[in-house]
Amino acid sequence: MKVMLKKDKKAAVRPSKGSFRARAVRDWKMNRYKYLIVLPVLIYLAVFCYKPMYGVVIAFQNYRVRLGISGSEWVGLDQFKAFFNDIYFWRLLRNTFSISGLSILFGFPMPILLALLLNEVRVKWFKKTVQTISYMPYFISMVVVCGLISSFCRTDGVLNDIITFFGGERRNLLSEKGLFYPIYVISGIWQSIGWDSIIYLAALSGIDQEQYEAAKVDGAGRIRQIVSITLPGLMPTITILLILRLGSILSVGYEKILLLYQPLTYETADVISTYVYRKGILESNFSYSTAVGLFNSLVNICFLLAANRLGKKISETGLF
Amino acid sequence: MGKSTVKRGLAILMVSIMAVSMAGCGGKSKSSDAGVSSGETVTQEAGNSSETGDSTANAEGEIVSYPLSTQDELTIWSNVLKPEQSYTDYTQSPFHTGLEEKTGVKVKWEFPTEGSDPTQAYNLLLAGDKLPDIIWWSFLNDGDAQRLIDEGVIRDLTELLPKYAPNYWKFLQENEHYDKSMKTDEGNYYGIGSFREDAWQATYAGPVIRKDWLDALKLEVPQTIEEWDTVLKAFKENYNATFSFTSARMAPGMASGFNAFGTFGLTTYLTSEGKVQIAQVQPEWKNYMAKLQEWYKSGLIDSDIATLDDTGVRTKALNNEVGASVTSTAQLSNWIADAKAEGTGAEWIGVPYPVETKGSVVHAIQAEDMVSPYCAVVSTACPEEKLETALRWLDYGFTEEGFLYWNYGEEGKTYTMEDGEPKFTSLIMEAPEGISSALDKYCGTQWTCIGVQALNMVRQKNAKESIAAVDTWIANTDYQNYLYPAGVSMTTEEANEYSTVFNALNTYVSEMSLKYLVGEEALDGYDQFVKKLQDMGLERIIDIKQTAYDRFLKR
Repeated sequence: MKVMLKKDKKAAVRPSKGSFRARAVRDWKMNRYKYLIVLPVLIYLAVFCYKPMYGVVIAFQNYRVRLGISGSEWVGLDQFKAFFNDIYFWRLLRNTFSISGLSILFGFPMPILLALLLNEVRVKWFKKTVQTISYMPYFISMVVVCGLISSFCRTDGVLNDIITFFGGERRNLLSEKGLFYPIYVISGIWQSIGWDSIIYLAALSGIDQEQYEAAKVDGAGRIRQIVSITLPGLMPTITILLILRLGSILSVGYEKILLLYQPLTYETADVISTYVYRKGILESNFSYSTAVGLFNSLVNICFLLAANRLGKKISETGLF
Repeated sequence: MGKSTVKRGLAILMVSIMAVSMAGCGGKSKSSDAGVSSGETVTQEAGNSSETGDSTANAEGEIVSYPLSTQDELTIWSNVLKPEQSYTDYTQSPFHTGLEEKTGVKVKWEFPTEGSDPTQAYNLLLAGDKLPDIIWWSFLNDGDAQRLIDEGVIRDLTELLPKYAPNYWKFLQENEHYDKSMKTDEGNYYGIGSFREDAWQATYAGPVIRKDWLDALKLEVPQTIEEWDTVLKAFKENYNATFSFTSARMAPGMASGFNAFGTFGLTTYLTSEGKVQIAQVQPEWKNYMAKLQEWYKSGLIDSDIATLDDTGVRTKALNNEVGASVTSTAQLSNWIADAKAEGTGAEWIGVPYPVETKGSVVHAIQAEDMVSPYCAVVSTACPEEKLETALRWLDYGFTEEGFLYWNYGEEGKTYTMEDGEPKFTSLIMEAPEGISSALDKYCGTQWTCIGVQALNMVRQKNAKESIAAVDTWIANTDYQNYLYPAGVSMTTEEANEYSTVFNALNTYVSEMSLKYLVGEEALDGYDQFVKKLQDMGLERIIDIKQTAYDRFLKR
């Protein structure tokens, strides 16, 4: 009975008999609405993501707007060489990886933790309230958040009041290069912990409750339940999100850094995108920024592929 | 049953709130449209008085009278002179429509979309098919006018200016600096620019101090650095107030007190022999930094300066935490207004830039070139037949009546002549939306123009404290001898080489100068600092700028 149903189901989706043409026609007849729904998205991807890709060739040119792509001279890898030979190249790379890495290291587990904790709460109104409050900061504009951070870090700001209460000295916290990473990461966690935890809470609700009951019968405590049931249940979601996150490791959101940094913290805060931004103010060098962007994308792809490989090895889940 | 109706009602309420707030996005306020159109008709009638005679035969080089009798229509793309915000487009702006009448030429204005990046819009314009007749852009900043001529984008105006823009031509011949700025190194004239009548208009920022505190402590306005020492220490002791500023405003800041020429960012200047130099590699700058470091360590300089912006300094000023600063006249007006509103009794005045020895002349003040980086060019898309109209329209600002119109608007409406000097009427001076907005509506020289910005106009529009401040700053200076001109242009190879190194150099200088300020780096390491700059390619930068400057002089 079960086997027959399975076969029927398969036939409804993917016709397996006949020549290619016959199969294609039947496929269309049976699934045409699905294709139609996907069509706008495919057109969008084709026009906005794939078609402009050829523009990446300007990374190998000395692009002049007036002459266009066909008219601009080819310089091969010169733009890349200019970027790699820049005095600050290694510092920029180091800073970008550091900020990204620390954000992932500390910022990635936090929403999971919040989701796990919220999952344990039985009092419904408390759970809902905490959820709502925790994802409100996500909607505050980055500019406003950075304005708040600036104010708090001033010599006469709230954070310094707390520091002096514990006997420390007053100083402008955003001027210290050593403090830039903590400020950046912690404010990032504060802003996105609620929103990111939503997807984990959704995944948690998909875990079979019977397993918990079975575990309780076997005498497992709460912690044991979390470790043995919840976490493995969340693994696929965690893996996929981690892979996606690693796939944008070099694309550190520059707006926040741009708003928080200044020359005293360049040593730790200046990342590839902010440096190229400052360079761009001087000249509209499209080729240079395209070359840097291409470099960023290539590194991101490497990380994405590596993470995917690793994910498959560890938890049998991968993006592709 | 009741519960689901409540839920439904709430849902509908939420959706309608969202829909209403969506409507609030975008679109300018249309409320003032009605008032504007009635005002506009008044302008049209009053404007008829200028239709004195018809233009004489437009013979070459002859000065014709306006309005021109022509059917030609011009298109202009511009990043400046946008109609005042309450107008939906230029057809409602009294200045733009009035200009059309006075010159007799219909002009279609195109501006980059509000909120878009102007540089991108400009690049897209150049890359597109249809160029407008006139492009008004900061060509002096880009420095690539010759290349645009060579590529056939804009017209070489050398032959045409004497023929069709005689007033402007005469104006250039009478002023060497302006003449050099408006042509390329090859000697080709390419644009009709925007100029200032007097050096007074080129400066708008400088040192300011709490006068009431000075009086209370029986101190004089400080002139030398030693006197500044005394004043700042006194402010700290008696009022716990500091010397605070936005680092961006410290250009050149207090450098004149040491005969230095810059503070935090890489600054180019000319020595008295006309040689190009970088401020940060001069020993004078080292002494200047040493002093600033001393002040910072003693707590005389605000420890927040690295992260403050204008608003931050303004708040601190209002809270009586600031005794002295370096800021712009606009900010100064804000501080004075704040003090009045809160009744703090604070009195802010502009004070002279410090000097090394009493009585010497200040060599470095905050000032721009007398030539604006913006100029109007005629594109190759403008057909031969329209060239004369285009140039004569551009020439208007350099005629006597054009000068008056651009600066002051309509006689009788926005200004009256008193003792031979134009004086703004209450329509401008007591405008409820503020003088600045009123000027945006009726006049065209507040920011950048196609013509000359009158000194009298700027003096009238500024608050008296600002006027007094600028008077003080400009009183005792010969800064123009040391200013690197805005009209210098580099060749493409030079520009490429320059840009490869400049960003790295500027980053290094910005970092190190702030580190010297806060004491993170000791000034003993100054020689290594200079050596590192040389290694990074500083000599090359100076060479390039020197060669470009020499070419400028030879034009």
